[in-house]
This record gives sequence, C-alpha cells and structure tokens, in this order.
Amino acid sequence: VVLRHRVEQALLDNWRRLFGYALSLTRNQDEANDLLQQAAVAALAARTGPDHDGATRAWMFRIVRNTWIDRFRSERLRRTEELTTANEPTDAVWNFDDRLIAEMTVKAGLDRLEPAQREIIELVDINGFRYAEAAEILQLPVGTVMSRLSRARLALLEAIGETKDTSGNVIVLDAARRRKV
Amino acid sequence: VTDWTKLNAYVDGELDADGAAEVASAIARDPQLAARVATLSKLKATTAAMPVQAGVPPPAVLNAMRPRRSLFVRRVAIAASVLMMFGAAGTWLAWPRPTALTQTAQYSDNLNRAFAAHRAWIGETKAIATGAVAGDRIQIAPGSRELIRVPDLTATQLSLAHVSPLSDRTTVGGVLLGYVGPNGCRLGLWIADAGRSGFGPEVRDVSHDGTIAHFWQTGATNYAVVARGMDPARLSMMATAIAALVARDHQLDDGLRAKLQIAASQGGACVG
Repeated sequence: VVLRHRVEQALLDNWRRLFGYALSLTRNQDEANDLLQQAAVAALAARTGPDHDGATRAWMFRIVRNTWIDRFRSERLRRTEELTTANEPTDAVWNFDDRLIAEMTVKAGLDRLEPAQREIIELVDINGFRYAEAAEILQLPVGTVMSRLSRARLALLEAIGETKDTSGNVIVLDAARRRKV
Repeated sequence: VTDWTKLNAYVDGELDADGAAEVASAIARDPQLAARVATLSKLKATTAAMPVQAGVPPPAVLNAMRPRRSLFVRRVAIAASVLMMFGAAGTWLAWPRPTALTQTAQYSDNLNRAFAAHRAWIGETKAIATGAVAGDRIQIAPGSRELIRVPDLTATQLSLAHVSPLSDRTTVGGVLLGYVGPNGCRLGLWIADAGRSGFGPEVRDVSHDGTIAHFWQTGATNYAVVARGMDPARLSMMATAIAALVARDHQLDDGLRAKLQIAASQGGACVG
C-alpha cells in the first residue's frame, strides 16, 4: 500500500515530465501517451520498488524506458551517436553569441539530434537527474553517461549553429556567428 | 575522460572538489576554456528552462484504476474490507469460475460455433493472411449487408493475425478475428448476427474444454471473446473493455485505452 501510494504520487507529480521523456523516445504524441499510460500501469502493478520518494522518480523514468524498449523494440535508440559526433569541439571554441542559444534554437536543435543524444539531455538537463541517476535509468556505467552527454551537447551546439526556419532558410549562421577567441 | 567531457561534468557539478578546483584554475588561465564553459552553462540553463511540452494528456490510467467514489460508497467499501478481514478473504480472493457450457443451453449453439471457430484457428499450423486490418469493416457472413468493424486492440499489444475465411463464416454463421500478442498469446473475437439468439447486453462467461469465452450482445450482433490458457482475470477485463469499445463505436479515448492496457497487464503470462 505504501509503495502504491508513493508510485501514484510520483506519477501525479511527474506526469508532464514523464510525458516529455516518453515523447523524446517515441517522437509521436499518440505513441508517447500510449507508452506513458502503459508504463504507469506497470508501475502501479509493481510489487517491489524503491523504498523512498527520492528514488521513485528515477525508477518511474526507468519503467517508461523499459516499457518503450519492450513495446517498440526499437532500433532507434541503439543507433548511438558515436559514429556521427566528434568527441571534442574542433575548429571553433564554441563561444556562441548568447542570442544563438535561445529556447527556440535549442528546441529545434534537440529535434535534430539522434534519439540517444536527445534522451541523455532530456534526463540530465531537462529533468535534472544526476549522472548516477541517469546511469541507473539507462542501465549504463556512469562513464558512458558522461561521454554520451558531452557528445550530445556538442551535437546540440552543432545543430544550433545550423538551425533553420520552417522554410529551410538558415536563421542562425554557423561558423560566421561564432567568434574565435 | 576527455577535456570536453570534464568541462561538461564541471558545468554539471559532477566533479569532486579536486577536479573542480583543477578545472577552475585552468579556466582562469585560458580564455578559450572559459568561453567553452560559458557556452555550456548557457546551453544547460536554456535547455533546463524550456517549458514542458504542451498538450500533455491527463493521467487517465490513474483515474481508470482509482475511480471516484461517493463518500457513502467509500464507507461501504471500508466496511466490506473489515468484514473480509474477519473471514471472507479466502472466498473473495478466488476468481469466480466460469459457467459450464451445459448451463447456457439457450446460447449453446452460438457458443459452440465460437469455440469451434477458435479451435480451428489455434489448430492451424501456418499463418493465413488476414486480408484485413484493425478498423476495417468486414462481412459477418457472405451476402450479409451488415458490416462489422474490426476492433483495434493495439493498446493491449494484440495484433490482428487471423480472420476466418468467408466460406467458414457460412458454415459457422459468424466470423472469428484472431489476435496475437508479442509473446504468442492468442485471443479470438467471435462476431455473429444475434438473430433470435441474442446473448443480451451483459458480459457473461462460459468454459468449455479448458477454453473460456466471455459473451455479450451489442445491438443486433453477438460477440464472444475466446481464449485458452489466459489468466481469467485478464480475459475478463479484456472482454469488458472490448465490449465497451464496441459499444462506443470504437471511439478509443484515454480512459478506455487505459482500461485496455490495465486489462492486458493483469495476471501472469499467457500460456495459450
């Protein structure tokens, strides 16, 4: 009964964030809704779970993720970003004009990331999980979370530098707007 | 750990005291590093401040699993719980056994057809192309003018895998839709013209040779959900949810979707 109550409360408190995470996995509103409802059912039916409120939130995110893997058995997340993203910034120093890193460009940049990159940013930056918590959710070593996150942010900065509007026009210039120091 | 990774960890406050001091010292000496840290900090802050996605659906599953009850009903429920603690718990826990087919004589012809159609499906050694997908309208029998919609059960992870051939629909007087789950769980939905032997609107159950059917009537049509080896609680909830889906003309809202999902999560693994 205690676990059930804790899970219900965690679901209510985090519903919007969990939906955002489900959406980052599925990229589709209906599928995200379906996924979250199913994950909630699984969480509510669980007979064992975290024994304190602090861990329940991460546990819920992990259930969403596991449900997604079970449900969609998607290859999308397995296509990791290692092949497409460098480990380090290259020519520029990433000293962006502050105006470039705005909500709109970040959102557009996130939409262009590989699923695994978007997911790690969703967990750490948007939902505020510590590296160890993200590692627990993703079932990965902390070192992998660190490197995946740093590559994801690098890819996000690249994407921001190439952000285009809906007409395909570049609204933020790439290298030209970065200032070398 | 690369320098870039370390800078990220620094911005995230994930370095220990020595590591953080080392990075801070390097930043003080190197304007390029300082610029990178500033960019990362700005990126992190902007990402964190992004508004939560709009159009978030309500937590229908919570509402579905915890229906609102009046104060009176809650008190009655509490009283019932206390009574159960004093002796009725054992019988309460036992799931009611389905009625035997012999006790449903008035429907036995129709139910026998449903069981036969289900047996024919699960006895098939190879899959047959359905020629239909969920949402399609199909004939119950050749020549029948009434078209019945194929229920979409993807919310329960069941996919349409079988539709009994038209020729069989003549001999058995109905159509069997076969659904299969990701682990091979099979559920048949038998649909037939109610004619003079309507099942009635109430969802009732019956067992025959280890197979259980839950049957009801919607409009002029008889329905029976048939499965073998499925958890009885799950099958019962699935049948109730499917009956609700049919009654609502297949309009699947969040609450009904949640009910279907809850039904599919009940009990142990399907062995049928």
